[in-house]
Amino acid sequence: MAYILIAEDEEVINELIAKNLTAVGHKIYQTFTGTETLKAINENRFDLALLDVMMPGMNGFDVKRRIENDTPVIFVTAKQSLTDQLTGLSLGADDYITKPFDMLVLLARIENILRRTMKNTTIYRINNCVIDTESRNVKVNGEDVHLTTQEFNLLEALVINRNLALSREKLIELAWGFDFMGDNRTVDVHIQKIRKKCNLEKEIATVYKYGYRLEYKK
Amino acid sequence: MKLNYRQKLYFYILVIFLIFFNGGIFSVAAIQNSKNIKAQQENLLIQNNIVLQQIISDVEVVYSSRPQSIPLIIKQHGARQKANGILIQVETDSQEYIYSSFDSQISFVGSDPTKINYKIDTVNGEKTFLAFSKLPQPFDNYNVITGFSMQAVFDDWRDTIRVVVALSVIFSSIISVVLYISLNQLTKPLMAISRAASKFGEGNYSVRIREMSKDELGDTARNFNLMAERITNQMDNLESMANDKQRLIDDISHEMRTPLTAIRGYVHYLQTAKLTEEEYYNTLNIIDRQADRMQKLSEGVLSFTRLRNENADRTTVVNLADLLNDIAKAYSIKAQRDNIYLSVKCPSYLEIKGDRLLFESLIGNLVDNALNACADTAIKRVSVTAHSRADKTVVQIEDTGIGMSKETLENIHKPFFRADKSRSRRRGGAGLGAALCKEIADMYNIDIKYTSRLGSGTTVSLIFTT
Repeated sequence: MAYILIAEDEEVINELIAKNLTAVGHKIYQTFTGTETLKAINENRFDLALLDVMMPGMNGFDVKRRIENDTPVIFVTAKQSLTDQLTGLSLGADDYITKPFDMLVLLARIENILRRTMKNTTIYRINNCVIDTESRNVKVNGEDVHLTTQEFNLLEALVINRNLALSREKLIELAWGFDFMGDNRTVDVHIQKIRKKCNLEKEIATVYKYGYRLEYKK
Repeated sequence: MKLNYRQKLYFYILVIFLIFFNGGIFSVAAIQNSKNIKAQQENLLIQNNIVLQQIISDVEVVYSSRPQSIPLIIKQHGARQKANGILIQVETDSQEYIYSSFDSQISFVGSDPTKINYKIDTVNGEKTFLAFSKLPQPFDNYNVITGFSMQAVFDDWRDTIRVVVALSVIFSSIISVVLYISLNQLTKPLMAISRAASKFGEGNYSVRIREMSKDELGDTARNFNLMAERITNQMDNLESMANDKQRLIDDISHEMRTPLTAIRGYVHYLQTAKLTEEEYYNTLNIIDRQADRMQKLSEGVLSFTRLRNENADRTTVVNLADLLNDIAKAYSIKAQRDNIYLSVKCPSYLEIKGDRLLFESLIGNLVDNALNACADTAIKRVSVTAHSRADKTVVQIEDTGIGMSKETLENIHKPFFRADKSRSRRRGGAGLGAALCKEIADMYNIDIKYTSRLGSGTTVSLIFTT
C-alpha cells in the first residue's frame, strides 16, 4: 500500500515494526544507522519514514534536518522529554511516538499521515467491497451499503489493521471509545451485521477466544 | 544600635585612646602647673620675708624712741610696697586695724603662730598669695598679712588649658580619622573573609577570597580558600557519584526497555498476525533471545552492585599460571568455534593475592572481549602473558582484533557503553563487561591499561601491585 522506511538501530525492534507493517500490506525498507538512513531517504521516494532519534552515526533529528525531499516523518524514540518532542515537531515531523509503544497506535498514526498525504490510500478494495475511509462510504458491487456509525468504525479499525487480529476490547476502544460500558457480545452482533452487509463473511475471521481479523491478501 | 566588629573595635580603641591621651596631656599640664605654683609660692615666701625684715628693722629703730610712730612707719612701708604690687595689712592681736592696702579688710588668722602661714585666695577678683606672719618679739602683737598677686600664674594656667584643649581636639580628630582608615585597611581581609563565608553559606560554592595579607588574617583567608576548595571537590565527587548512580539506573532502565518492548511487541504479533509455523517458531526464538538478554543484564547489574558493596579479600594466594590456564580452558570452545588461536604463557611461580573467582571474572571478561574483537578479522590470535617486574606482576591480554577508537577507549569503563551496538548485542553482551573489570580492578588496586589501534588489535595490561 505504502513504501515506508524504518530507521531503528535496535535490530529486534526494527524487525518487529517491519513484520507488522508488512502484515498490513506496506512495503518496507530497513536502515540501522543515521548515515545509512539519510542516504536511503535522499535516494528513494518513500511515502513515510519512521526515524529513531538515538541512532549511531547521526541522530534522527540531524537526519530530518538534512532530508532533501518532503518525505513525511514520524519520530520513534525512547526519549520522553517534552523538549525532545518539541524539537522533533519543530523540525517539521508529522508525528512523534515514544517507546515502548503500542503497535496498533503506531499503525493508526501511520494510517493518519498516509490518509493526509496519499489520497488513494483512503480507498480499500476487499473482495467486491469498496471502503472509502475519507468519505465514510461503503459500496458492494457498486451499490451503496448503509452502515451505522459504530459499524463503520469497527470496519475501519479492521481495515486499517488488516491481517492483524484485534481483541474485542480493542475493537470497543477503537469503535466506541474508552468509556463504552457495553458487553463484548455487542461487538459480535455488530461484526455479524458487517459481515452480511459488506459480503465479508470469509474475510472477517474469528480468532478463537480473542477477537477478529480482516484477512486480506493483495 | 548594632555595631559590626570593625565599628566596635574602632569605638573601643578610640574611647580608650582618647581617655588616656587627653588624661595624659592634662595631667602633664596640671603637674607642670602645680610645680609652677609651688615655685612661685617659695619665691613669694622669700619676698614676704624680705618685706617683713624691712618692716622689722624700721620698727626696731623707732620702737625704743617713738613707739607711737610705728603705725606711721608701717603705713610708709605699705605705701612703698603697694607701688611694688605687694599689698599689706597689719593688725594687732586685739583686732586693732592699723593699716591695709587691700581694698577690703582681709580676715586671715594663721593657725600656727610660730610659722608663716599662707594660702591662695581670691581678693578683688584676683588670685592672690596671702601670707600671715607675726612680727618677732617684742612686736609680736602685730600681725602682718601680705598679699602677692598670682593672677599671672593662673592666667598662664588658663592659657595652657586652652592650648591643651585645642591640641587635644585637633589630635583627637586626626587620630579618630587615622584610626578609622587604618582599621578599615586592617579589617579589609576580615570583611572579605566574612563576605566570602556568608556567600559560601548561601550556596555560592565558587566564591574565593582574593585579598590576602601576610599575617593571621591572610592565613585564615588561605585556609578558607583551602576549605572551600576541599568542600567543592567533595561535593563534586558526591555529585558525580550520584550522577554515576543515576546514569547507571537510567542506563539499566533504557537497556531493559528495548528487550521488554521487543518481547511485548512480538508476543502481541504472535497473538494477532496469522503466521506460518516457521514464522511462529522464529518469533518465539526472538522472544527467547530477548528474555535471555534481560537475564544477562540483570545478572550483570547484580554482580556490579554486589561488587561495589563487597570488601576485598586480600589474603588468599592464587597461582597465576593455574588461573590463566583455567580461564583459557573455559574459553577454548568459543575460541575454536571462531577459529581463534588462544595461547597462555606464564611462569609457574607467579602468585597474586585475592579472590580467585573475581580474578577469573576479570581476566575472563577481558579474554572474552579479545575473542569477540577477533571474530571477524583475518588474523585471529589472542595471547595471554604474565611476567613480574620489580614488585609488580603484569598480565597482558593481546589480540589481533578490530581494535578500538580513541572515543571508545575513553568510554570503555562506562556501564552499557558499546563501541558498536548492533555487533556487540548480536554477540550477546550486556554492555557491562569492561565496567565490571574496572570495578574489580579498583577493588584490588589493579591498574588497567588499554592500548589499541583501529584495525590492528588491542592490548590490555593488568598491573598488580603487591
